[in-house]
Amino acid sequence: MLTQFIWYTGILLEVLVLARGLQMKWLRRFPCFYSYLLFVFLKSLLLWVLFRWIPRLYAQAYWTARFAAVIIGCLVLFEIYRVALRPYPGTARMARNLLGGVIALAFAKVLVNHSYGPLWWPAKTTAELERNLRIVQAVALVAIVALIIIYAIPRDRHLKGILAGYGFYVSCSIMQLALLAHLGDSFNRLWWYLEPFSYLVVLCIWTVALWSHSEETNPSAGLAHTVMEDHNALVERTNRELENIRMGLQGMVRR
Amino acid sequence: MSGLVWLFATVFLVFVMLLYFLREKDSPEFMQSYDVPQVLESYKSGEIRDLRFLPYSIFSERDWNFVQNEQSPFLHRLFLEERRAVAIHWLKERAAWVRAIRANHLQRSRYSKNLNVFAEARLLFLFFYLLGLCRCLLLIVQIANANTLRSIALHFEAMTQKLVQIHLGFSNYAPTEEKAGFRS
Repeated sequence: MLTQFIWYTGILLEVLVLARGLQMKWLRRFPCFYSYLLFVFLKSLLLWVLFRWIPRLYAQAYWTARFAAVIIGCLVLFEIYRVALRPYPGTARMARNLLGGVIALAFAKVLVNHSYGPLWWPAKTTAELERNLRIVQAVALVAIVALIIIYAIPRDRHLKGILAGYGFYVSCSIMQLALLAHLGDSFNRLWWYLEPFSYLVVLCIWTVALWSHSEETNPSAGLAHTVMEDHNALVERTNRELENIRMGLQGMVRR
Repeated sequence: MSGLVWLFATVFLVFVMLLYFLREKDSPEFMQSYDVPQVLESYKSGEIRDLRFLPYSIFSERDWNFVQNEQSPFLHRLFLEERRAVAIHWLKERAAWVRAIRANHLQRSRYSKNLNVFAEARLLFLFFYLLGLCRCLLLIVQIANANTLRSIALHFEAMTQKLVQIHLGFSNYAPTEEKAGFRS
């Protein structure tokens, strides 16, 4: 009964968010996010049909669809990066390097694991593989959020909502999949409720965030002149400014 | 089990970052604070040169030796209280300057099309380092007193100098007498 309530509410919220996005033409701004939502919506319907009429195919279809959702979820992350940092080429460059580092680390981990076993991916089951991909997503998410905070990148309600919702979902997935791998069948029954419930919470966040209109944040016109500033000159000037303060701090020990 | 702890630590980090991200204000006031701050104006006008004697005075042992020679408990207490207040004010001011410079730099560098990632990363590290240094010194001044700071500050100074020499080559900018003073 509870599972059915969560499932129907989830479907309803997905339809609401999609319809609102279509009505307000927000699909153009967040095409990957709405594609992801549409995919999850269609996946839910398909799985329901399979569960009802072809149950022998359900398990295989379920894990395949989940894996596909993780891959499409990476596009949501890319969209957050694209939308938030598009007007800021400097921060976008930092983000590209940071994300490149995250991907390189993930590949290094895969290579190390490959040397210990026959599998090229460091997981024995689909759940473990999904958990590992979610961890990479979480680290990428932390990198993007850190840059947004450090560089004080303006963010509107929609961006905040999408990022918070997806971040919450990734975190919950990691915790649940880690416990599933660790505790095994004893956690399976609880996971049956926890997983759809956490996604329902995420859908609530997205519905609230994407229901009302949000002003798109554009860089201030007064700052446009700084776009052309040479970064080396800027670094040199900041170094000089910091040097003065550093010398002040050093001054306390000179006498 | 240790793998599980690491996973939960990662999740905790994501939650903390998201909470901070959501709580951080994105109001017009927040953005305006990134315009050239007033503290930088006073810095640019050369006021910093006049204020440079302050750290020498605040943390020097000369006054402290003089007060000790007077052998007056009242004067002793008064000196420590006032010295602590001045040191705290000075450190807070320095931290404000670092924050202002950081804000000013980040505001410009985020638009930079030819951003040098390594130089930027080094600067970010230096910003956090200097702010951390200021906080540590503040804590020490509040717990102990400004006069006991010297030996600890020497350690920070050596680390700063090392960092600067390795990463930024700041010694090129330092006046000759400062370098000579450090060597002695």
